[in-house]
Amino acid sequence: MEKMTWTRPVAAVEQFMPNEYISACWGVACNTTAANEIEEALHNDPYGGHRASECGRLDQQAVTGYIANGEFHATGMVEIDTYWGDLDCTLYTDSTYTQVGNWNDVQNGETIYWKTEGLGGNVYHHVGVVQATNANKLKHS
Amino acid sequence: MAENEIKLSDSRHYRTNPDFILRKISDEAVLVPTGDTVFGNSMISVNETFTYLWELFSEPVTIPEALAKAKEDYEDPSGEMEAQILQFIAECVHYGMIFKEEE
Repeated sequence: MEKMTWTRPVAAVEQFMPNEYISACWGVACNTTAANEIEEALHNDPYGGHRASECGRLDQQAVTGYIANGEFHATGMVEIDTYWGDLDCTLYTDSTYTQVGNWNDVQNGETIYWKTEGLGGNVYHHVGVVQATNANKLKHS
Repeated sequence: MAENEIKLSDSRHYRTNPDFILRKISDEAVLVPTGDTVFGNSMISVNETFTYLWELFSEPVTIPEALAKAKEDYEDPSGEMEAQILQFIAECVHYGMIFKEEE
């Protein structure tokens, strides 16, 4: 059989971009006290930059992912509507913030460590507990 | 992101999420998300190579197996097939369209 010629695989969504925020069944409030202590230890910065009214809000960090067989599976997290816009969060395995973690392994109720980076280059070290924010969508959360 | 990086040497099996149904109408193909996916009620139009890969991953397949099969079936004059298949897998995994099977 004659071979076909390869072309780039392309998909076009009618509503174009998937609205991951709608499917964000989990959120995380940064433990700002703990996070500011981490910043102080790392940078000798007593002000830290973590505020209860910002990253300390549960709805500020949306864990994105998908639902399969009634269970939510995390694929990432976004800090929403910051001064710099939406920021991708990088997961780390522990409080040393040295080894990148895998969002697929994150579970509801787990303490997670993540970093965000503003456009100015400032890096923030966060810590918080994953919580369900849209339980109606979950059969087994 | 690094945690979502897909490598040629990845020996895990990947398969499509059964919540997406592939429908072919004449020369056109669409993926219909069912259940509660990130795509809501939208439809996803896919081209011929996307359809080919989707059908290839309808059964659990490793990346080396998928690449070998694609090389059997396609000429690749641009030399971009391998990289584009890895990108296809990475994006489908990111959006929950393809699962990594546990080892």
